[in-house]
Amino acid sequence: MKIPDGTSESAFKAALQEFSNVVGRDNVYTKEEDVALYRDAYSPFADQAGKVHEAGAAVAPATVEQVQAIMRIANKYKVPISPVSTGRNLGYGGSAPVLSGAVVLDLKRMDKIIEVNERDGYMIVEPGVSFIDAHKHLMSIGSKLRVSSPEPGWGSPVGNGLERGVGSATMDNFSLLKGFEVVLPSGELLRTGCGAVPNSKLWGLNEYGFGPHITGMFSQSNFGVVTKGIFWLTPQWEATQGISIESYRSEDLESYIETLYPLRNSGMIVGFLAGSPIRESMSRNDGRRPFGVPAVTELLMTADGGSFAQWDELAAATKIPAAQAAVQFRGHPNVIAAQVALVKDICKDLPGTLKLSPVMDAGIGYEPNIDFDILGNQGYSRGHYYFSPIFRVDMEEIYAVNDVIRRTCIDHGDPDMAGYFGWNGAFTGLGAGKHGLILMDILVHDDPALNNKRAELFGKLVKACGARGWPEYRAAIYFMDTVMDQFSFADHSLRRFHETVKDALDPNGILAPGKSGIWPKRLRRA
Amino acid sequence: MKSLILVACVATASLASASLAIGSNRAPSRHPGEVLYERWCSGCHDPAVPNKIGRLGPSIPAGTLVLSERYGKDIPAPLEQRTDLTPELIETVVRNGVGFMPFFRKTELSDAELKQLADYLSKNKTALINRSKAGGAGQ
Repeated sequence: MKIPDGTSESAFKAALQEFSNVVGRDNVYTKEEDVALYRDAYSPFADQAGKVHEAGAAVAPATVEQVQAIMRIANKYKVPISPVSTGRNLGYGGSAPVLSGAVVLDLKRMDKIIEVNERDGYMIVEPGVSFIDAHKHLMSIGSKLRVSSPEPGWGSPVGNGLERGVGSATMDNFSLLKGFEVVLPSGELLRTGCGAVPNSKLWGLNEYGFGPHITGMFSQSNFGVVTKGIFWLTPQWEATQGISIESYRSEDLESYIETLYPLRNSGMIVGFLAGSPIRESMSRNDGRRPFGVPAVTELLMTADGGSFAQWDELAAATKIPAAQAAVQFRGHPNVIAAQVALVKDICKDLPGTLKLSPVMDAGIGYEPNIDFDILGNQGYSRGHYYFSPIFRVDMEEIYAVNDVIRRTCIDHGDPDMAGYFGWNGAFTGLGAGKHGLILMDILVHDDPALNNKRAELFGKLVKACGARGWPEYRAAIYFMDTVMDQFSFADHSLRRFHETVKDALDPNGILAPGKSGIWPKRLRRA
Repeated sequence: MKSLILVACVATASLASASLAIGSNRAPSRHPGEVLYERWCSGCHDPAVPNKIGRLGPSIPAGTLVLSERYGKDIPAPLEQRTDLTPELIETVVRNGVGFMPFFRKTELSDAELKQLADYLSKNKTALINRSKAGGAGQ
């Protein structure tokens, strides 16, 4: 049995006994083969004793009252508790704790859909509900509403939203999470916003209530265990359509972005892509299938990555564009038709070729399913994890981010990774931010030395991009401290603010120590 | 079309609920393992649908794709068509994972549910054994 740092074995065992009294012995996991199920299946450190994050035990409550009792017991014995919702955050930590030896609080059994409000467009769910469950339920009751799901859809709207994950309706699922019921580290129960007004119908309709707006505090943090979440749902829209513009001149990307990106400000576009298909054409990143020629990789791997003139020549020769931007609309076909006409007019003086995708019927992207196309396209692996820098959407930044990634891989002695990633355009969509995102997936192999080399590379990528002002929007448990280190303004005042709040809410430091680099006082590094 | 692929979703995000009724798209079956298979396994292990296009282009269930590459013509890739699966093999793979197939926890598939799933998927083998024992006609 793995005992966490700062906890005695006797206290740990006493706590487990008291957990059994609360949830029943069958819902406390202490046998080695059961506790082994509380790790990240996609960990780059799998099978490496001492490096792999492992649980000490796990407990699976079914009710809010049980969660409260567990937190009180954890405080009594100073035993760390690490909550997971559906525990499917593969490659970000899965069902593993940040602090090895912590007791994982497995909330999968709390899987009730408490309410669907069709008129006001929201659902209230427990953390163990998956996107697939929610979708099937909505279908079964004849709802017109759809849930914004990542792929695969076995994650949790609550958990994924709290992680600020990307979904099919928005690139920021937290922007759809509007209110919570939370068990605080003390065991006390809290409802946010208008949920704190008894008998109010406004809990799902006004997230602020009065005073400080605190829902964000529970995202990517360790300040409380969310036991109910209010997730706004998007009505099924009738159609989607995309319009793109492309040319064989790299420099045209600037005018494309500067013309089309501001449409985001009026809310007209729901998705935006900007890139260079010729440079992207040999990328195998994130399940892409190469469609270019070997000369693309050769040029990318030269010292300067190829000049605009060289790329434009290759683009003309292969008929693969050197610059491309695309926007996506969704809604009623009449509305889309008007938007498309407007964009055609806006783009009429731009160089290059405008292309319209077919109008696609319905569908919020696709139905949530257990979809593994990204990994399936890449042959055998033991999973993957993501490097995900965010940056301003302009031509200079997109080229710079790609250049820093390329150089960092090569300087690390990993040209294979540089060749695998190739070059990727930026995408952005609806959500709280106006930033662009690149997702670089790093495969996990059977070779621990290679996995360790790539994990080291990851740290270098975080630092190299952080130094340029491009932080991560989200992080796996392996890299949380490194990512938080990039937010260093005023001698890391942001992290110290997090720590101050942590010490106030969780003086015994028992809830998910280390999540997002927030360590309780008793475990804080100097 | 590659020029209009909008990468709107990411993988991993970040799925057994006794309290929530999960509908089945299949014809009613008496075997509870089939319902569990459909919920937890079919997304990766069903047969390929010809010409199915997903977000990244041609789409084949990932488990079926990987297994078809491994087994070629020797063994059928879709799990429900296999005649060589044993309950022990199913249980081992589900609890340990293999390749990029993750393992499943007991709060997702309890031991009892796993046994039902394993019984269902090994039924072709069981039927084969029973026919052999009964002295039925050879294949």
